[in-house]
Amino acid sequence: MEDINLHFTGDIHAMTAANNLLAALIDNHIFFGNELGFKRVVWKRCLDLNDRQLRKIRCGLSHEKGMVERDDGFDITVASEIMAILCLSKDLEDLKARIGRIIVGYNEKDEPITAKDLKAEGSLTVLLKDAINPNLVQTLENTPAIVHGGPFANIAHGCNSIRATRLGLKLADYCVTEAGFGADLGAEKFLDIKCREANLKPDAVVCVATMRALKYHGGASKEEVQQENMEALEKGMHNLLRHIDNLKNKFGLNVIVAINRFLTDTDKEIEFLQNKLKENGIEMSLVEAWAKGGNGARDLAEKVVKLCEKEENFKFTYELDEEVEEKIRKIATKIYGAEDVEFSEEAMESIKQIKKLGYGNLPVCIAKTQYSFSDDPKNLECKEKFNIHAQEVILKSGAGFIVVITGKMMTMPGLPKVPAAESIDIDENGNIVGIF
Amino acid sequence: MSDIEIARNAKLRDIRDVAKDLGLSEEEIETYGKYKAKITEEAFKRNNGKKDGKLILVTAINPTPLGEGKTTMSIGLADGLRKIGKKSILALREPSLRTSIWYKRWSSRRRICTSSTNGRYKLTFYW
Repeated sequence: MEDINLHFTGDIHAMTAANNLLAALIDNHIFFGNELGFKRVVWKRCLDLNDRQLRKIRCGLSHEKGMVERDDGFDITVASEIMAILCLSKDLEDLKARIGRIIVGYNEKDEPITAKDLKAEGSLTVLLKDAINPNLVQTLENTPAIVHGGPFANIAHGCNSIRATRLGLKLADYCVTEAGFGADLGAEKFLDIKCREANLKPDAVVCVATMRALKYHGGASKEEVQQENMEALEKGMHNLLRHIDNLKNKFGLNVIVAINRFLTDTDKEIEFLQNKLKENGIEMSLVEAWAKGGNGARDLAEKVVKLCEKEENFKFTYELDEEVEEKIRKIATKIYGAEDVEFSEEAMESIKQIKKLGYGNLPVCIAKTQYSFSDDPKNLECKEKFNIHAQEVILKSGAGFIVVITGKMMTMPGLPKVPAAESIDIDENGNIVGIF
Repeated sequence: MSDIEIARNAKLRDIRDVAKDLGLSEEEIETYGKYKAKITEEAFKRNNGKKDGKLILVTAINPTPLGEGKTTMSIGLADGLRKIGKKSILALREPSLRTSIWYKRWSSRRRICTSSTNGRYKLTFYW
């Protein structure tokens, strides 16, 4: 059963291999004379392990003839553009075309060099031919689950594959899917990137809230959130209400709040939240699935079924033909509630080049902290007016979106002082401990 | 019972039966052991013209560093829909090896919940 947390069906290993084949083809090309004229390589190697030692490396140090020494670095596999591509591809042909469009470096004139220029798209697609097919498993209650693809939710769009979701919709009457982080990042990207790409629209949205997160947004510390704190709870409501307003009024969707009940939640807190939501005309369900399984979510299920029958009025935050700056501004002001966007010089320069290359019509994927509507992870209450800071803009021409970096983003995390690996073990009978 | 005991005690169905109930033929899946399968291109082709079911998105408010249980909620909702007689399916993200070795994102949160609250976690996936 621990399979899912280990090698599963090998998808992520296949992506690692494909990513690193491309890296090897680049350096091999340079070794044999650099006909394409690489001046700058932007494609990094990757690994499915947290290894901070590899964030920045110097490579090509063997001093053989033709070897070019250069700076390089590793990302984790889920941060690789290959993962985003796999999750947005409709089929093998689309996958191959997208891989061909990956920009791997730039020449002397700062013109992009693509994977296709290296004739790499065919072999990479071969390595991914099984990984593109969704995985079928089941829950403890035997509900079928398609588990497929998992890109980063900051520098990528954070949703499972388009193929899995589309197939789920064909195979069942109700397909439940999720998007990473809070609704400002996850749902926005699900709706503006994935739904647009796959021509999907959700019939209902479930917004999960916990007492601890509400209290946290109301100023309680991580240590205090387990105690009853009506003041923090009331103050933290703004976060939930803003997300609901976005989903209902900005995106035009049918929404229900699901309270993920913890045993530390008090009746007084729950009653307060229920009344508050009622006052605001927001539907909700108290869910005890964690303790009771599917039986703990019957009420939510009934309400979701009804919600799915209601008309929605789904609209995107921006249209693709708008200027890149305008698309970023619309997400920042409409969804995050920011005053405006401040673009760094570097960001403006990149946007100019993206437009010149003819990619200005792509959707934007904002990399922002998941803890706040703003780009400051410590600004939980967002009481004051704030601006979003577009520091860096990166074209992902294979995945088909423009990444906007608004803070420090880690694409190769490190292990903590006491990693889980220290407690993982296997006995003489092959039983694994410490991984679950 | 601890999380792992609950999971190990769950009764799993042969994945071929799970697939069959979804209307997938034997040619449309490739099994990986008894409890995992890949769904092949044939399934996409055959189901292409079929009417779509309802799509439900599970999202959340801004999380604390512990996460707020979107996956728990998604699994609970899909199981709950089955309980009230609806044909549901999950479409979720794939966890990676690095998270297991790091701090076990897919399960540690719920373990943290279990140990601090004495609750029973029954929803963990069984692969």
